[in-house]
Amino acid sequence: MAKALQWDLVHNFLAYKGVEITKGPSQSLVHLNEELDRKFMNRPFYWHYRDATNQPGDPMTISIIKETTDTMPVNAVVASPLNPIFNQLIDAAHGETRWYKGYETVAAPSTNYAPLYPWVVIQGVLTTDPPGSPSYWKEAAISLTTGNIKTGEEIFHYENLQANLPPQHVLTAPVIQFERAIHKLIGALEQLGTELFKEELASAHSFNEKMNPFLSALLDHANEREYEHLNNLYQPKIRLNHPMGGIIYSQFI
Amino acid sequence: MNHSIQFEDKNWPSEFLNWLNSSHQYINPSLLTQSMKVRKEQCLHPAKTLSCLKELTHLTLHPHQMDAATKVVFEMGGRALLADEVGLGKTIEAGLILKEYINRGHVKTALILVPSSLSGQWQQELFKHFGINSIIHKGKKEWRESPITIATIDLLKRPPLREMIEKSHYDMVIVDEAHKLTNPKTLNYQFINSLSKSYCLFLTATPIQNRSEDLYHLSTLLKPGLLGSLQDFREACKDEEDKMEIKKKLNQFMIRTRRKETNIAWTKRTINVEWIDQLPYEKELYHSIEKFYHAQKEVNMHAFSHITLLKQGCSSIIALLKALNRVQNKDISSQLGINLDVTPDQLITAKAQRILSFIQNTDEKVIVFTQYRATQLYLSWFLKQNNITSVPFRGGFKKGKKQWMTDLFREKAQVLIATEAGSEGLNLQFCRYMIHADIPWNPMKLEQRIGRIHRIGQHEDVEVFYLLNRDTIEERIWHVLQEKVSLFQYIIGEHDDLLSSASSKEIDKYLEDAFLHSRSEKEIRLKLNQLEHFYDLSLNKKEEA
Repeated sequence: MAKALQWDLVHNFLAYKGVEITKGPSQSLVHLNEELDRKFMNRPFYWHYRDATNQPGDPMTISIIKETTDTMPVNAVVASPLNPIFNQLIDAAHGETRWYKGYETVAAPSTNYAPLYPWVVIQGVLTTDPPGSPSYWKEAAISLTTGNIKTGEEIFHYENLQANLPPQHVLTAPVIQFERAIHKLIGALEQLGTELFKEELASAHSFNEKMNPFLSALLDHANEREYEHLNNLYQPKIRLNHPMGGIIYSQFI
Repeated sequence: MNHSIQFEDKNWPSEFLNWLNSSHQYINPSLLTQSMKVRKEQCLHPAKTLSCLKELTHLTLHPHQMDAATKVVFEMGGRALLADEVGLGKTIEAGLILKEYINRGHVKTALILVPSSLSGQWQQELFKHFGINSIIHKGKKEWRESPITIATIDLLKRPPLREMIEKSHYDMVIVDEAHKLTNPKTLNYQFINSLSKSYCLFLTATPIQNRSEDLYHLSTLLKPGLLGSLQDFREACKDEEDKMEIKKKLNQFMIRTRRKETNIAWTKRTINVEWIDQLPYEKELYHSIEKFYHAQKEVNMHAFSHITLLKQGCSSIIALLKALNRVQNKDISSQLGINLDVTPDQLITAKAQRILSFIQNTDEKVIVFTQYRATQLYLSWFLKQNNITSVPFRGGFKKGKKQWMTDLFREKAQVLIATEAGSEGLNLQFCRYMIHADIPWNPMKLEQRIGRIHRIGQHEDVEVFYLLNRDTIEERIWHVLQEKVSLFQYIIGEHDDLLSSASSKEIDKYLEDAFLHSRSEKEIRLKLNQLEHFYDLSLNKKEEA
């Protein structure tokens, strides 16, 4: 399941970057562009030589394959988290969606121009420190027009968003400042986490107390730097891993 | 921007704000949803579960390895002593813990300190099993750019590298073969103590070398203050009730799995003892030494080193001749009354011939262990004369060469001839035959040697051969050892009863003393008798308790 999703993500990313892909069931032939070749193929000397002689380079063609086989194609990249190039492609794909902006489309606008209202969204994997609690995918969104806050797991239909403002739609100006919106959203996520991880936070507190004598001993040994790092790590807190943030122009106010 | 929620990247909220205030980029909605799906699939997990396991589907982990990693991450706060018995996969456990912390965003920088012979192996295993890229620090500058650095303590503990390393903070420090950190007076210990680190893992199969105090010193590096003062610890080790308290505390930072506690189907280990008759010149030389010492004994001019010389004589002629050639032994060699200027044909030993015939009768790989470098060189030469290529392995090689030798053995050569340096940490489970050309009389060392091939990943039955010379000190000591079999069962089997009173843990030391510093075999026997008596006493005491 995870492998198939990663396979699709990488292909999606390459297509988004305007790369030529010949897709097969277990192997894809990808002719990279210069940007991706420079970034992922680890050929600094080749590109340095081309740049120095003012010649255009010839980006590589790679084969992305699902499984390692006995007869591997030339320049094969195995779709496995252990393959450094494939891993970098996944990271780059995630990096591309770190921030996003999208527009909803009103199915049948009653007037000529349907208004779209701005919402700021933060989502990610909510968990706790120190490790031990389960993790949840959580989102929080705030309307920049009304200050209304929503939390949940999939507040918007992301797959239906448009990259550009659809025709016959008009944007409403925000009322709430971005900084305040972010502050409110983080507060909402924290509150959500506090409710979700009530038990885990309590046990994390007792773990922290258990660690206290050891931490004080570090101070006694004049290991202040170590003390500060560990104290911070053992301090129970809510954590948002792999955060993503964006602005969505929604039909809802 | 102040907030109490923890982000992997502290500046994320500010960066988000900057992005919102700038001209926004548009995105591909399908890429966005795909990215979210992958995150959800990869990062969501139940409580107290290792999230990295989803990525490691290619790896067959044993329950004890998973338990160890789970315990370290969720219960021990990332500071632990992994003290599993030899061959149970401590490196895999450490890699798993490191990977988990990296995945959770807790570890970005790690320093892995290993014996030089193992640095290549660590680098390979981290990459092959966990997809973790690392760099081996060879004293040059490139290490600064790598978040995961593998190095030897010996390289880093001295200026100017020491100052540089001490300035950095490492999210995780891993020390392999950590039993070398049991003496607080050493530079190694002080160096590890001076490192700024968050998480810390020590790996050793023998957390106690000589005394229970070794454990105390290791705990002081990992969790200072946990076991109180050294004086308190010493006192507590003498009292049965206090000992239980200390055991509980030990469980807060130490994980020790023994072979018999795992559900791994270990392959069979067969021990073969072969009695060898020495060749004429070999016998003559050996007996001349023995005769010389008997004569010395009669006039009470007996020296400590005679057992060492006799042991060298049992290893190979060349080892003995080399020892006799030393300045301190000049007197002895002049009084032996035997020709020491020999031809290559006279250097041949019965053991070398037996090793040759064994290798010629198998197509499989064979490891030969010897304590003496001279024997190692001689065996290598002797096999080469008979068209068998072997690779040597010894402590003096640089780490690159050690790795190269191991690779050559795996891929090309049939035979590896190793000195004691090859007995630690190497993964040689692709080989199933081991020959001891001579025997270290410390059973723990023997276990370390055999542990190179009889470990997780060995699919074949393992055959171990002891070659012992008949009518020599080897035979006599072997009989003493046979008589004391219960004593050795105790040492090997119960060695990890780590909190037996401090003195009983000095067994290793006594053994060494008995075998290496005794003036006669009678003295060896006497010392072992005393040790056995002590063991019986402590056993009775235990039963009474």
